[in-house]
Amino acid sequence: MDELEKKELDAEQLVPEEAADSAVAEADEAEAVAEDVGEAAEEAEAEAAEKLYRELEEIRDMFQEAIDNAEQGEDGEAEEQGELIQELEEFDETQQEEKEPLPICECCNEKEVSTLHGEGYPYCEDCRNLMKHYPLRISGVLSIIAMVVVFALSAYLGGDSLERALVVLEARALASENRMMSVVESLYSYSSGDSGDSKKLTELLVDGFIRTGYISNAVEVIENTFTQDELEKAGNKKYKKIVDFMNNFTATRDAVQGIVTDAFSGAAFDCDELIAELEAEKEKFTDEEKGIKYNTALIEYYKYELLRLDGAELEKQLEILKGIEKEDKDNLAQWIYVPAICEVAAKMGNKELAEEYSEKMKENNAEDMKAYTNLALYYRYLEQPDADSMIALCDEAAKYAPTGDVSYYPTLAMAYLIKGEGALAFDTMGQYMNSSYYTVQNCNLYALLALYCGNTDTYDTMEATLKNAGFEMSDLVVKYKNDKLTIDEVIADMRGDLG
Amino acid sequence: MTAFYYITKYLTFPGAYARCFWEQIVCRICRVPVEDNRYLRQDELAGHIDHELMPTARSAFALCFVPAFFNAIGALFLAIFPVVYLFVYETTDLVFALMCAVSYWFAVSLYVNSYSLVEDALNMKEKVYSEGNILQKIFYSPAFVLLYIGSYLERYGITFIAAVVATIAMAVAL
Repeated sequence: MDELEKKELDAEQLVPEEAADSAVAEADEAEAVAEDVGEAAEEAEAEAAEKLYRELEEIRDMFQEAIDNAEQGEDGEAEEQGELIQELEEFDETQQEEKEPLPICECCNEKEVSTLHGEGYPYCEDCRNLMKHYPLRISGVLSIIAMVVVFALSAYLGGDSLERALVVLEARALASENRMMSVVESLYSYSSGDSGDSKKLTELLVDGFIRTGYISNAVEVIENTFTQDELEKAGNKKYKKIVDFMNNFTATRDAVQGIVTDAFSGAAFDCDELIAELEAEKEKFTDEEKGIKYNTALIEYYKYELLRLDGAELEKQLEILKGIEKEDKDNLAQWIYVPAICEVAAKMGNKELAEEYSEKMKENNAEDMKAYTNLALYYRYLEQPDADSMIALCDEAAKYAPTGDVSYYPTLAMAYLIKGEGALAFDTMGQYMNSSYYTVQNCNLYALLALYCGNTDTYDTMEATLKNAGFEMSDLVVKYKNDKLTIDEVIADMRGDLG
Repeated sequence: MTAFYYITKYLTFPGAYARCFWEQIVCRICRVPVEDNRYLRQDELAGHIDHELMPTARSAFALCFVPAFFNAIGALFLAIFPVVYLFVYETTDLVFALMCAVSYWFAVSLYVNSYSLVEDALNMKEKVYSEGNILQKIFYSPAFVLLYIGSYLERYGITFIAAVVATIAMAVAL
């Protein structure tokens, strides 16, 4: 029993708890069986004990086998799990070996490229987020630097002519308003050929002189600016035309001036005879070899002046002037005939024509006071002179009059006289006489106004002035002085020149 | 029309480069990733960089306005000398005239490339109207109208013609 108990204990120690419990139960059962056998047959005790021992041995072996099997079962599970893990690791390794490594970022050359932005994206997430992958391009920087350099160079090169450029800008603005007298004044200091590198300055200056009638000044600028060879170039054709016009004009004037001088000085003349002389003179000085031809505009203008002085019909005068316009294809002689046509049309009572040519004068030079005063003649020559319209025209003239230009004052004084405002008329005329050259007509008007206002000193001064110049006071003024005419009769009769 | 668009871009490449440069600067400041920074290419993105949409109203406004502002101001400055000395003063100094001609080309280039893509302008509008308060909407709306119209003009290459017309107007005004 001790042995059995020992074995039992051994079994308990050796087997796992469940198997051991089972074995103990079976051992108890075997022990009970053995006790029964011992009681039944003492003799065969040894034999039976031996048999029992063998049986117990078998049982023990059986239990041992069960215990071993149980132990073997636990080891198998663990082994199976281990195998699975190993297989998984092996699978991962295989996968890892099969998949190629990601390329390195093209930007930093350190990290792997990002796979979040499609296949083939060449940059890592860090470079992308910090935008290191697209550095600023040198072309953008260079283009901006180039622009700055060009601007700086332009400022450097243009700095020298900045003053001239500003003057040209001002003159250009004035020219756009047809204020040609102001253009000439602003650019006059450059008329000695100091136009520098500005083509526009020369153009404005020459145009200004032409449109204000100072042709000889225009020619002076051209000759100071261009050489003879430069004038022959196609780009300077217009300047060449001006020079040619002036040469012909001068030649014509020199040739025919002698014919008309006496007539223009107030001497008696035969109009038809002088006109015939002018016509005959044409051929004498025309020299085609030298390129000099008579100047139609000047010849015709002289004819017109002779007709005017002779008191010819206005229609005839107008016809002559229209003839000049027809011949003047380059518009270089507008300053000669346009004011004259306006004046004749106004005297004729042709308002439409007078306004048309007044506008032409304004287009040429808005500061040409004749554009206003010649049109004012229309209102003065009406049966009932319209003083208010004359004053309105003078007000318009005042807006455009260059500083110091009071050439519209006689018209204004006449308008005041027509309105009966003699003192204002005398004062206005006085201002004019203080700042302008005297003419026969203006001296007469001033003398009349002086008489009207009772200022005999001024009348005497004017009379003396005219006498000194070889002229006499107008009959109308003398008659008014001698009370042979009233002021209204003088105004009604003096539509023509007082002189 | 797209062909005319990118022809104008190639003709005015200095301005396109400058525009892209400013755009890229703005993207960097706003930390918006750039997808493609080629400055010139033969598609509707010529003269612009390819970037992700701007995330906020401010950044969307900056992307549209900053390059437009710098290009327009640059164009104005660069146009001064050519307009004055070529069209008004009519300089006869050949070197200076050449310099002015280059300056004029740069000015036109900058003006032609002043405006943003229509998509960027629309994104700006969407961001402002979805995020901004009433004051921001009022502040941004004139800029949006201007930039949006400009973007459409640029899409059809009309800014090129507009630049020439603007130069003539400037010369006449002077």
